[in-house]
Amino acid sequence: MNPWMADPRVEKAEVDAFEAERAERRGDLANARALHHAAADAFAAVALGVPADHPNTRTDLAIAAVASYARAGDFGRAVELARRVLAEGDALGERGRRELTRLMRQYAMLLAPPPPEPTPPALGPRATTQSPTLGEPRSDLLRGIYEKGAVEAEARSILAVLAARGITVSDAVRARIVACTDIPTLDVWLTRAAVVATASAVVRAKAPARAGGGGGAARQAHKA
Amino acid sequence: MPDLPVETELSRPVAEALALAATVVLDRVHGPRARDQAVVHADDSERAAEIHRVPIDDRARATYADAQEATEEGAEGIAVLLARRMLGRIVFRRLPKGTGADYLMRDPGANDSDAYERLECSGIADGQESATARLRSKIEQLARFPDQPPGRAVVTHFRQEPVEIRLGSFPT
Repeated sequence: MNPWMADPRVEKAEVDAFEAERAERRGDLANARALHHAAADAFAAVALGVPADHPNTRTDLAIAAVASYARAGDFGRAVELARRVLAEGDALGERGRRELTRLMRQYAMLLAPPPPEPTPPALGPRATTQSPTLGEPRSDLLRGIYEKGAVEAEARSILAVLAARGITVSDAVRARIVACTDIPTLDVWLTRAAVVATASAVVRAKAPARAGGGGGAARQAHKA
Repeated sequence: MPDLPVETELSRPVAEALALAATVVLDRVHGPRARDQAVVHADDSERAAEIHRVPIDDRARATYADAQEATEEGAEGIAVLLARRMLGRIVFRRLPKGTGADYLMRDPGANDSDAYERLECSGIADGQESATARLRSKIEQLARFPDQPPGRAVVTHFRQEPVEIRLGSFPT
């Protein structure tokens, strides 16, 4: 077996990704994201060390990492890693370059645009709500614009993920996604959009936690 | 199913979970027993097979209380073993969803460690969909990633008796 696929970090990532999918099904999205992120970090660390004479291995580990970052909701890291691997394109085959470019473009679309650059008023005090820091809105007006933009970007992201997965979205579901202005709800829907089988499942009420499912099958099976 | 962890190179917790899931589904649709008869359809041929279950208890049943989850993971367990027993391939890694394949498998006789194949898995435990129709859609799924290494798809219809297992390939 090739040593990068057999790397203990990859083996651990396989278990983390498996458990993450189970956590998603239980509706434990915070845990799912953390597990996906841990898996992504491990896949990425190993992928970057695969030499150029193993382009398939490098490609598949990199794709596993990029996809896991996306499942964790960290589209920024997904895009950053894809760019980094593509920058060392000689170590990828044609398939790897094409697939990672596609993923990078797909996930880059999901990144919210930066907040608009504020124009300071010429005279008078500024209506600040917080200390101005990079990337944060500086006034109530700008905060409103920023939040509206974030909501619209997240709704677009949900629809883009469903479209990329080939899932048909009815007019009713589309209207519900576009009308939602609650960012935490949209966060949940965005994560669901990456995993559910139908668009209606994105906006359904949260599923109840499974009875007896707290330990995870992998852990229980390990004890059996 | 008891041999699944040693017949693959998957991490042991994942392999054991797949064997457990397959047994829970079979227990649910056919009742408690130690073995299930199966028929494997590959290309134009068919072959009788027998599925040996692993021991389960109420805790295992509770863990797999979600029938869809049990069916999906149970079908993965069947497919992984079928790859070993019928195709002579060793499944060595389960991939996260969204990567274009469920599993990667290798030919143990091949020298090139960078050459491997994809394995797609699917299961049916209720509803009206046939295994043939599901296999067709899985092959279409493999065909959507033509750049990727060659792939096989395995669909298991647990409710049929004998259990119906269908194997397909891309490219055909």
